Amino acid sequence: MRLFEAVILENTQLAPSIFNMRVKVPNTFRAVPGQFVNIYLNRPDMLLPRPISICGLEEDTLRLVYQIAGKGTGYMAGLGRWELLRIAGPLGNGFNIASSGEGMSGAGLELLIGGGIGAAPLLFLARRLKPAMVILGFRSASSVILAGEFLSLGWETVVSTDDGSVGYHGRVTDAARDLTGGVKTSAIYVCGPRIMLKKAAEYAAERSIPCHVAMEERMGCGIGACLCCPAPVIGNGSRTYKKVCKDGPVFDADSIAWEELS
Amino acid sequence: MNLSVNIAGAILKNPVMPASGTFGSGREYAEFVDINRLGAVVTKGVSITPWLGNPPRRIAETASGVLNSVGLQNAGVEAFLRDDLPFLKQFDTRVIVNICGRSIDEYIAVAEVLSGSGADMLELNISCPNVGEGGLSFGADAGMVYRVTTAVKKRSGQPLIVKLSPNVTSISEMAIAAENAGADAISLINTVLGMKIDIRRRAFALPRKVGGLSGPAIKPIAVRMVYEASRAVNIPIIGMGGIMTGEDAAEMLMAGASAVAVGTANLSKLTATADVLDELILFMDENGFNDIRELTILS
Repeated sequence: MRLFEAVILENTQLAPSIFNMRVKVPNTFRAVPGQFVNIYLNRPDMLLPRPISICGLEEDTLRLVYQIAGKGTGYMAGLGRWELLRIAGPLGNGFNIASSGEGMSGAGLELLIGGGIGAAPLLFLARRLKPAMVILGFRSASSVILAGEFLSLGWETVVSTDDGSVGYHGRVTDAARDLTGGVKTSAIYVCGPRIMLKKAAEYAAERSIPCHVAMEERMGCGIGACLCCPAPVIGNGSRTYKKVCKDGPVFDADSIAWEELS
Repeated sequence: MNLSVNIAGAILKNPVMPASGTFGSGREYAEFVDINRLGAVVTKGVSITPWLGNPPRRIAETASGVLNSVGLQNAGVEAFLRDDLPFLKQFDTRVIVNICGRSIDEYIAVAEVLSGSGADMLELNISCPNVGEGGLSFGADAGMVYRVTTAVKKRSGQPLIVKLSPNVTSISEMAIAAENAGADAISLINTVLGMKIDIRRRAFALPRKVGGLSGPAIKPIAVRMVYEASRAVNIPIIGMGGIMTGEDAAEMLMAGASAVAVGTANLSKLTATADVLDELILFMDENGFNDIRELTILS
């Protein structure tokens, strides 16, 4: 049963409005990078579960790095050690890494691109891939998270900021162009704001690089029943909506009808 | 303790079922809930051809409520009969298929295709606020309620439940129109038309601007309307709107419903349908009820 009560082991602030939570999960819990869990707040005024992507899983400790984006995540940030959380998961499909894992050698560079809190699921992915290059975009130096952890896993870690206060000054996709333009790239994995996904998809399409994007959408049930989280996709020549929670959240970038997403 | 109820000649082992649209066709929930325990499963809306649904965003949270604008996305009745109905028929429960259309002809067409199938009952969705044609435009006018119900009832092979909208001046008038047209039962309430504005983005929370409000925020409206409808008609009523617990279900039954549907609670709690049933049994036990029908009679 993918539904359980979990004890909070840690819930501490990592950066302004970013929190690092560790919870104890059943030892049968398994997950792949890109999957998420639903957190149930058990509050009559906040009815919907909060989907949070998995940042790490070590034995029976699940790590969630999340951003306060509204009332629900604000409430989560106030929870303390030893409090119980109702969790469903893992949910969603996760990144398809079965065909890769070559890292820098042979097939080409595997590139991770993350924006803000989007770095969290990529850190989980980084543990399952051979170290290569990760480019992380943040607003400014004070909002940089997890970069040191990618480094210590052996990843060449590039930080870019919107204001240039640290690292590369500009978009992550511009950084990718400058730094990897001449390098054969075998796959790109992206998680971040929608505009970043879109730019990364364009970058990958120009170079015919397979690109996997983790989509975000407001969700209801989280298990594929309520159809509240549509991803516009093109399949067999026709436009349909897939479910971000169940068919995704990871999609091949070239299957998404980007023009529909503002 | 007797929990079984008779809805239009079909015996339901208990009065608890999911509300259409919150439970898919049961497949996703089967991991969390024993479908055999439910009195019935009400499917998502099924139309004669596939419907795309509305663009995102489709959902927004409000104070003790949820606004949705799904727009009845579904793969069409052919896919439903191939993929979903056989799945549901494995379980010892009644199958109620919610049907939708953009015109009377489309409602008739889908009812005809389903008439020879294993569906136990049809629920006529003339109350969805999230589609342009059909939906609420049919359910907000007593004359239209009568016309579409008559037309579908004539061609449907199964008992027909008519799902009513709360977005009307007189729910009794709509209930009477459905009963006069031959409806075997009515279900209410569908969602309440609502709106949310994201003041930071200075934009409507939903691109269609309006959505259907559900959850505990609308329960008092639902209880009042079920009560009024039960006074107006003799056919059984399936009551819904903000039922989160067994006590909420008991309240809806006491308002005059013969059965209840659990909707938004499925999103808040994956086991909500089974939990509501357990809590309802506990309530009856603690309060000296031996037969579920004793609750309905109170009104």
